Amino acid sequence: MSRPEGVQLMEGNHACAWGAIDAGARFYAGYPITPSSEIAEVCAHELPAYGGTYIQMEDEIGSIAAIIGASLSGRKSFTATSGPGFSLMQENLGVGIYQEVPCVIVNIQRVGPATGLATQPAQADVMQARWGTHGDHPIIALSPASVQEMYYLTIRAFNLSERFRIPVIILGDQVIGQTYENIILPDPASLDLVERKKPLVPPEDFLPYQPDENLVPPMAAYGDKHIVHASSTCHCETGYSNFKYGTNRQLLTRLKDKIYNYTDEIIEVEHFGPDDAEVTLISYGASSRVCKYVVGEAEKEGIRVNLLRLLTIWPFPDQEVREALGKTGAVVVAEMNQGQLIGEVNRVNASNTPVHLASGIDGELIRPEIIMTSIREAVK
Amino acid sequence: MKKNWQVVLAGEGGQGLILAGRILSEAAIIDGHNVSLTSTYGIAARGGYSEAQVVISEQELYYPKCLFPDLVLALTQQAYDRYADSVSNDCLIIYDSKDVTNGRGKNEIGFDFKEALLTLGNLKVINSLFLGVILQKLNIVSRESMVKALEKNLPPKIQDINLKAFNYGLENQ
Repeated sequence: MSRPEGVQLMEGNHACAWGAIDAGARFYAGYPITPSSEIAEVCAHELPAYGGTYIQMEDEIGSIAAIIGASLSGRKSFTATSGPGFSLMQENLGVGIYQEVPCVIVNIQRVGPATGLATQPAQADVMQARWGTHGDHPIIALSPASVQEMYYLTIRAFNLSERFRIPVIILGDQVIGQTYENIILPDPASLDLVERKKPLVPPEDFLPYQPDENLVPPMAAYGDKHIVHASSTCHCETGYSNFKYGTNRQLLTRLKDKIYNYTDEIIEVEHFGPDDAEVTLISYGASSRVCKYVVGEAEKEGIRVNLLRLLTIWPFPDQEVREALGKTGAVVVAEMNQGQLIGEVNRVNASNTPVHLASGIDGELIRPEIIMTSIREAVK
Repeated sequence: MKKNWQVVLAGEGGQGLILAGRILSEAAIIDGHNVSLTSTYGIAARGGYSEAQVVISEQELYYPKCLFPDLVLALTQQAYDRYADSVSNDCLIIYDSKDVTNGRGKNEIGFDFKEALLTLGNLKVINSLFLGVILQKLNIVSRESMVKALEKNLPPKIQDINLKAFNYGLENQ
């Protein structure tokens, strides 16, 4: 295998691995699990040729620990898994957020809970991605809807993680991970890549958790002249534990603000279909491409439908969703779970627009008819 | 070309269905179309239900699976039974006449794959053979592109016999 050129037939998982390599990822640690294993496969095969490292770990707890360590040592790092492995990663995900470690975690979702319908598609880890690790924290999660988008969102995930010093989650699903589609890999030299900021102060003045004007601390690597201490305990700007009254408030506030004050840099949505519609679909990932199909099917029945597609799930696009709710007669949220992101849609529903759920929990790509049924219900 | 072609290749593990789906998809890309290829397979390397679904379109593909197949290849009874009642009468079913009984009797063709493979002297080239049979019935990709895609996906030492099987399928109905 070498880097594919020109228009290619490629699997979503392969596109993810190539996106990571093109984004500059040079460390992968993981424990293979269907339907994500092909990401590990490409990394095992390709990373050494790029001067990178692939490690097959003993489990997913070790995998996320390894990528946190590698990132603190200066490497762009990532791992890939599915639901059961993502569950095991939750504790150290919190460590990554608290220590402000740039890294990417790919979750190719399958049906749960537990072993579930191995290894059929679902989108039921949406709230787990948001709140799976304990404690108050922000997170960034992106949701690709095609093989080509898997490539670009993987690059974007690395860029956001470097810019904001935070683990970024790619919430894929079995459909996008294991479908083959046309893709064109661009010249890597043409990509805009973001690298973490290095400290500009002399080593003796360096405080590893002193934020810059964007609330993000410049980052030295283990082994640099600038000494780094990273703690999973409440810490002050030195990086050492600090339990003084006010320290935790200051730290948690900054961790939240460094993301939520800059959501315009993070949030990405696509508007599809007519501007004015009787029903607006809100969806993401594999479900959202079924919605694009349904927009055309609804038109055949004389119902004007459009779609707000969320490429960024977390932070939730409050403003974009609120605007969409205010401009339409009714909303149908289409997702492959029993209703997860619909709760967020209702949270920002200032206009009290009727919101319906189209729920695909059959272990397959949500059928157009399920969404059509909700649309017919909404216009009744 | 019509807007959208949907082809289901169904049988059992070991028949090269997913590789054939890949070859068909790559041929469509060479022809300049958009494709999506999805597959279903069990945990065993051989045996068990297996299928590939290929959608070929000139437009952006929103729904990546076959909702309304134009053609179903059924190499086993299980594969035939899965689709015979659910697809429309416009959908052509090509089935293995040695393996499948109780044909639905409309818009379908039985093909004796076993006999053709014996004639070819190689039982492993069934996927190249059925790709030829399919292409003869449904003009979804060009013959040249299919040959290119076959060559790209097969090791040199088995290319000749596979091309022979492909041409046999294309010419002997």
